[in-house]
Amino acid sequence: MQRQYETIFILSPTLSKGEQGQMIEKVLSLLKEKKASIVAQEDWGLKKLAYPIQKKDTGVYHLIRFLAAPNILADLNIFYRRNSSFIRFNTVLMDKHAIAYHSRKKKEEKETSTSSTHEKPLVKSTEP
Amino acid sequence: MNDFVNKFYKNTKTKRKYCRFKRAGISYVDYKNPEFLKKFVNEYGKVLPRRITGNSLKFQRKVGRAIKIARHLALMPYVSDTHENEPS
Repeated sequence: MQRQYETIFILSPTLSKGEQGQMIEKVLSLLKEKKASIVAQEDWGLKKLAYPIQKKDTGVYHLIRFLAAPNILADLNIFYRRNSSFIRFNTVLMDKHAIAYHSRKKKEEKETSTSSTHEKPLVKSTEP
Repeated sequence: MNDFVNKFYKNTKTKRKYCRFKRAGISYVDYKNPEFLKKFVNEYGKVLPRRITGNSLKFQRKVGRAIKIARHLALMPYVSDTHENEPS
């Protein structure tokens, strides 16, 4: 029985861009290995923390929404805890209100992005 | 005598508080946007009681839970000192 989860984690800022990508790839591969299907991803990048964690004031936030069987959570938490570059992580079950909210938000983003592409071709045609 | 006393109680009628979530039809409190949650927190970073926010019980719990997750993810401070918020 697949349920929708939303996991968000903070990577320590000392990692280079490449290492951050690797970490995110590791989480994604762990999810795919456990037959989870990724619904959406959000990369907030480097953000200032409200309070220092492990003497660090900034962190790289990344968020993944996925559909999975509940037994995946134990492996996910072990993976997070075992890896020191994850300074903070949190996985939340999404109830129907949350799912409705995020699907509505995605639709709005799609509308705004499609409407903006219409203007671009007009500019091209005016060139001599 | 009665009119004399009533004069004083005329404008002390309390404004009817309403739950903004029911009115706006919001049904999910997103823990990921701290700007919205800041409305339910005083300047020390503590969660405001229901009698001040006017929330209904159901949404006050959702807000409380969202604030605690936001604090855990360092999106919101556990304790914020007042002079930090004042514009320097």
